[in-house]
Amino acid sequence: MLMGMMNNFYRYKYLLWVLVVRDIKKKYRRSVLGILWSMLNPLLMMIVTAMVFSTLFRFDIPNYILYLLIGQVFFSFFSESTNFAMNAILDNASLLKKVYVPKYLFPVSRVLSSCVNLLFTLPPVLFMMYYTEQYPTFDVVSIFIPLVALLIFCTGIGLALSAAAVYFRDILHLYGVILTALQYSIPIIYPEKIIPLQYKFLLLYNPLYYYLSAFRQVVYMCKVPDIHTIVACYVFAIISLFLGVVVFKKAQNQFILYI
Amino acid sequence: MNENAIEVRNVTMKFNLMEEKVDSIKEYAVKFLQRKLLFNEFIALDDVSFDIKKGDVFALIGFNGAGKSTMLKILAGVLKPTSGHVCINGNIAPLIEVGAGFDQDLTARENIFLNGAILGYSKDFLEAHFENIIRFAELEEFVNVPVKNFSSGMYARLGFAIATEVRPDILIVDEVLSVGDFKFQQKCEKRIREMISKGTTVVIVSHTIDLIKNICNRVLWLDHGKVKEYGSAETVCEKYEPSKMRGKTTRNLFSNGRDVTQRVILQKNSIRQVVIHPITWKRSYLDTDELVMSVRSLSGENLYTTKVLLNCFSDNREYSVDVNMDGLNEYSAYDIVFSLSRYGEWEEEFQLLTTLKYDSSMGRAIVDGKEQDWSICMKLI
Repeated sequence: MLMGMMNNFYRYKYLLWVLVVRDIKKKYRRSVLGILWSMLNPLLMMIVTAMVFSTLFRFDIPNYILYLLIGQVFFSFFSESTNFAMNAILDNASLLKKVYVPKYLFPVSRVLSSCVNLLFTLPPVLFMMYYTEQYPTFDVVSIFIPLVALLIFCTGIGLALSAAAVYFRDILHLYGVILTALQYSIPIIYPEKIIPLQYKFLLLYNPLYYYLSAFRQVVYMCKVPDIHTIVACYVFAIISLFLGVVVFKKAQNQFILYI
Repeated sequence: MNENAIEVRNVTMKFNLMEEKVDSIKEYAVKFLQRKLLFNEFIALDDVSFDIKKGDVFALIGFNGAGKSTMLKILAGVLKPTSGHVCINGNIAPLIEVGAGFDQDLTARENIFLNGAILGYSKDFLEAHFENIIRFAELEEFVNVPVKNFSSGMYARLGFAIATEVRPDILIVDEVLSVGDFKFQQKCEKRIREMISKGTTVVIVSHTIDLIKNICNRVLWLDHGKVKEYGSAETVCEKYEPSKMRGKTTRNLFSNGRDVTQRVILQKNSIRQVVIHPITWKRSYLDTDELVMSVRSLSGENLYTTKVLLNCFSDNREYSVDVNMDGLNEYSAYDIVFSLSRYGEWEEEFQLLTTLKYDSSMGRAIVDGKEQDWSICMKLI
């Protein structure tokens, strides 16, 4: 059965490419700055947040700008890709009712196009590293290790969410709130040490913490992430993909009756 | 090699006619507790089984609500049947609604690639056929215009062009020929005939019985989800919509300068011999008088021609003409055309009895809904 899926995937790889390209084109069509927005947006967000938090709360984090930037880039990819993927089946409902297409291609293509956007944000991050004198060494290339794991992780979540959204439209509204809660649950804005000891375990069970930690080690501390973090990233990624595929496969045959 | 393009076995499709759609978690929980979720089963298809052979032109007819579109969607893979299964040999291009897969914001050019990719075709194929598609749809000036700005006719032309450019093994058409002006309909019909003559299996849903009698060879009549009639086009169409008695067709009569055409449906190119029995000869013939027999595909392409000089015939003898169709493409339907050729006018009548001999190990000849040794009786008037 897995071989069948791989075969199918290979046969439709051109369609996957076309879908990803379509999403990117549509996002920036008729805008003057186009893909520059992918680069500017995280920088602008970071500036605003940095201004607010460094005046309101005094954190003694060295190079707070970079600390914030990498956390926000990571989280915005997570939230954008899963949110976009959640709407994948509903947005393409008319197509699914008329012709056979492997349904999983839609959430997967949306996660991939969000990943392309993420890649556009990496040059500005590199630039900020130079700007804040955190000169990158060759180790910075290891960012791709947790990145691939994160991609797999988001794909699993995107698959599950897109299936859920077909049956329970509430999740479309609920997910925004969940994302906000998640954003404050991991130390993106604040330093890790202000979390009281008795709540530290929450972090350890939160998969996002490990991805954040890995990204931070590469960019903020300029070193290859340690092996425990990497293993944790990949374990969570595989579990998420597995659960996402299982949920999607069970749900997909009845989609057409509810979209 | 499986002869069947499509095999449908005991397919049943049940829908839940829920009074309202359940869209939220709260409603779902409430209805689940009240046991109102699985209410009102609607049986769209009830234990339907049939075969479609490769090269068949198959029609699905029935009154509104009989389950035809549901059956097509199951064949296209869009719906999964509640029970039973469908076995499909070959790739399918569905025309369930023209323009399926069009994204409104993209241009015509981008939509061709998107739609083609959805139907499963590769980038190289689409680039090679791009020009043809635009030319068929007559949209040369609008290639880079977003599709949302198209008129409905342009939309339909583009969708049809993409779906039929790709020469699928199986084409499924759901009443789309009713869209568009009559020039477009003629174009569609011509293209579908071309595809038929190249051996594509076609499945059509239509209410135009004349069209069905013209191009289809097998028909399935569905009534409230059940198979009511299943057989050759002529017999089932006759039962569905009994036609008025027509006069004897001219296929049995020559008149000056005209041909006699007989349509034959064969499984493969299995015509071997034409045997001619002249019945009455009133006079002797000129040296140059000839009986010309040609075999044509449905789109008019002349496949094979043979000629026999008339003055070597005499009464009550059989003359056989061997026909060699090896090396020609396999078609499923042919027109056999007889004509008498002479330099000048024919003045009298004569009768010719002709038998078509075919190799029965290679297939069957079906004429007028019956399998038979075919003979045609011609009279010159």
